[in-house]
Amino acid sequence: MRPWTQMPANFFHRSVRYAVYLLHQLRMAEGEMEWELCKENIQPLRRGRAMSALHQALNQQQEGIASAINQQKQAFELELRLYDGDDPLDVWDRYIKWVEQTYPQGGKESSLTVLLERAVMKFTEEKKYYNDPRYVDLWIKFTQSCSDSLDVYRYMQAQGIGAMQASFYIAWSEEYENRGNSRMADSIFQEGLKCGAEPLNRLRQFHKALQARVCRQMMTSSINQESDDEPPEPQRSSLAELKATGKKKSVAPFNRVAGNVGYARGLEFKQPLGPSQNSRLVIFDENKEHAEPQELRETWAAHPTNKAKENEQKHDKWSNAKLPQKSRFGHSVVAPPPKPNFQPFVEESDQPPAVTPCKINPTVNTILSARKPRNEDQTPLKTLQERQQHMQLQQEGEDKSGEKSMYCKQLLFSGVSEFSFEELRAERFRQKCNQKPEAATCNTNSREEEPHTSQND
Amino acid sequence: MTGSNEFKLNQGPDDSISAVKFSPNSSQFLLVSSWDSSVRLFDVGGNSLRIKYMHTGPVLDCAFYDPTHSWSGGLDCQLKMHDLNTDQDTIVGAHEAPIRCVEYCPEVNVMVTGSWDMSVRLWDPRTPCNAGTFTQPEKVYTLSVAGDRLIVGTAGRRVLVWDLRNMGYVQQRRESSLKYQTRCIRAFPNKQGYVLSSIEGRVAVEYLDPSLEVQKKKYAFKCHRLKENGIEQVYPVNAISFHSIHNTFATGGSDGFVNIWDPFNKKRLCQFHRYPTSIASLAFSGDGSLLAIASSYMHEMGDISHPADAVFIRQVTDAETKPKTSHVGEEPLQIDMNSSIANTHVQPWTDVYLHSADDGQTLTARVFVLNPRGFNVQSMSDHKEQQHCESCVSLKPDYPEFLTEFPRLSHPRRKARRV
Repeated sequence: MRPWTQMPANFFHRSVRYAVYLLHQLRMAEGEMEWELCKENIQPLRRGRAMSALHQALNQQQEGIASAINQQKQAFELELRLYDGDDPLDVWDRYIKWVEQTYPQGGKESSLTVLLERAVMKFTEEKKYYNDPRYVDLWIKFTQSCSDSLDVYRYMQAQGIGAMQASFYIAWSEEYENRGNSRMADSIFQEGLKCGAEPLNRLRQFHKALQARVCRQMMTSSINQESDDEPPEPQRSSLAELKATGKKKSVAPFNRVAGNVGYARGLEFKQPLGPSQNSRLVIFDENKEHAEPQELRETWAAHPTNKAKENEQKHDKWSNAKLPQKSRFGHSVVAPPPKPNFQPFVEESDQPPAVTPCKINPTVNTILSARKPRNEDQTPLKTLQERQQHMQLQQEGEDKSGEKSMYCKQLLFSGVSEFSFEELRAERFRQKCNQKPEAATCNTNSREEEPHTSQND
Repeated sequence: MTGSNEFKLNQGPDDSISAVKFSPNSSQFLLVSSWDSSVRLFDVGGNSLRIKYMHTGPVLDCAFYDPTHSWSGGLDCQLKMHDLNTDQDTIVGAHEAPIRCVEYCPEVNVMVTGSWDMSVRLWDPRTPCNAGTFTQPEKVYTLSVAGDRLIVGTAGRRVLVWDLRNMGYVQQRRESSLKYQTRCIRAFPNKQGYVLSSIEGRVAVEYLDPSLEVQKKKYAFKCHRLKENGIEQVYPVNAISFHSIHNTFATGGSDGFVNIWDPFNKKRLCQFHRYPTSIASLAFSGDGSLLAIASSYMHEMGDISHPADAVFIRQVTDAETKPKTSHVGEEPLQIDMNSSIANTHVQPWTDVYLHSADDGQTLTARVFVLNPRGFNVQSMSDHKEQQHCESCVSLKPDYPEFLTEFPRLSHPRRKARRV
């Protein structure tokens, strides 16, 4: 058998897929089709999902009681805080992978983005992890949740994070490619090859695949340009009427800009390639005299992760926007929707529906749950840079704010959820209790014990 | 260190102290729960240990149901009721995770427990049995009872207000007005609001009434901070206890200090000497004459060596706990209040003589205490409401009882209100 590095890159992928397929068949045969029913709610993962985990996750969520999940989450959170070995990244890595599998629909409650951000920030000082595939992997996942992912890749490169990892270059180049900049995508690969990133095979293979795709695209676009005399710039003018173009005055352009398809990011970028780049549908045109049987191009699947952070305002045009009015209490009041200028017809005999009791008076709610709006300018990258400056200041012994928290802050607020002193102490107490039966001589002062064990490891 | 007005309890717990609670009707008995898995009942007057009973794990909180029954819960997840006369244990029930807080609500006659299993459970103390489980959005860190309302502070800086008579839904969902983790919440004895303390040296005074006018009065302040070499050290504020008569409160922080605050004038009334280590819990006795202070390291900075844990009992005077009175209005007072003013705690009204500055007439009037926002003036002679008097009512602030009832009567021309 060949060593795994020499296997075709998609070997594992294929075999896993096949396994999943088999499993699927099995399940279908058994009549267990739950996951089929909620497929729409399952976020795609680059590595795919373990069928068993998916099943379990969906089952638990349907039951509504997620106590088992909560317990496990709690256990992970505690492990993050109380881990004293020499590979703290391991816990984070396992935790994040678990979250991905357990919350198939992603979203706020999985708090994956927060977790990724914290994990990535946590080890920015640990040079030993910079070329650790797990850490680089976390970074790549992290960039996908950022709106300025290219900046983050550039930042990574500047810091030397993943500079020797093929996966870093592949992900970066993919990002460029998705934005339609295949020249940059290519140059990223070249850089990776120059640096000698590992595994080199994989890098080469992806590079070749990119080149092949670009070639194919060039060919098809040139064919299209020959056969069609559409304007060369297919940028769609927004909110304009679709006009008939061409000699026959009958063909409406069905082109869509890539940004609309794969990326709802609000970023404007030019579409350098031919018009039909994203037209996966071949539209039958009866007016064309020689309707060539066009080959269905193999288009790369859109990047599965265009999930920008949820519930956070995106950058958009401000010129005509209205700021929400500030109330006297410093938080914005949402203007009520304008009243319709027509009277909805109500039948006289119609009784007003019984009002379902409102759980909380909404007017009350706005005052009481005052949440300060988050700083919108704060992109993850900026926080990263700020944090680094902060750390430098701390090393110099000067804190800008001149405040020092007199408790172990990093322990309480390490993962996604917070802990109180009592909880941490309770966990230490539990561990001590568990140790007691194992080791007959239980050292009561575990503080002196801990550093030694970590060194021995 | 301990002066004549303060002493240390003998035979205190062997490990950190989690809570101290005075008996509801006498200041003689003090309940102390500890991480050494024990709950102890002390005779404060005699400075002796009366009873001690054990849990199978560290105890995080305890509470009196009546003078002879104590309830407690902790890391063993079990809720225990202990008969202090017969020294008998009853396991009432359990949570799925350690029980963090235990409180008694006399108005509804129900025991309330909050746990890290993200739930609050009610217990009928007579049977005793579980009277309901109510899921909270996060782990419960602290809770307090204000009349028939329950204020729950959870992780994630959330505050939930429940109505104990109708637990069908959450009455109010709030977010802590402080930026950091909630450490402690205690309700005002006058049931109008609560005080919340955070892990980063701050305390907020909030009101339950959701109306804008009342909400405007809420505020927060910094405390339990020490400046050292130009760097401000910010300590967690772990404990709050209210003086049941004056509605003033004491806070205890990990800096080892205890401060007493006047929430109405927004002033600190006094600060005691520094205790050996963090203040873990505080309790005023029912009559407000004693303050129990648990000085006990809470592992804020990890498992490091620390001074011994101890409970101190301090006699407090009115000078330390009574709000300082000050002139509230700059304008000359237009109404003289008779000195024969009644205690507003006994009667909901008080009689005053109104002296009109315009025509020199004097009226006898009765001031009714109706709500914290205003009061009602009624003439005694004809029992009709005197509208023209209301516009010029102001208080001569020699009566602290008044201030406790009207925290915000600072405007001299404030209009009285008919309800």
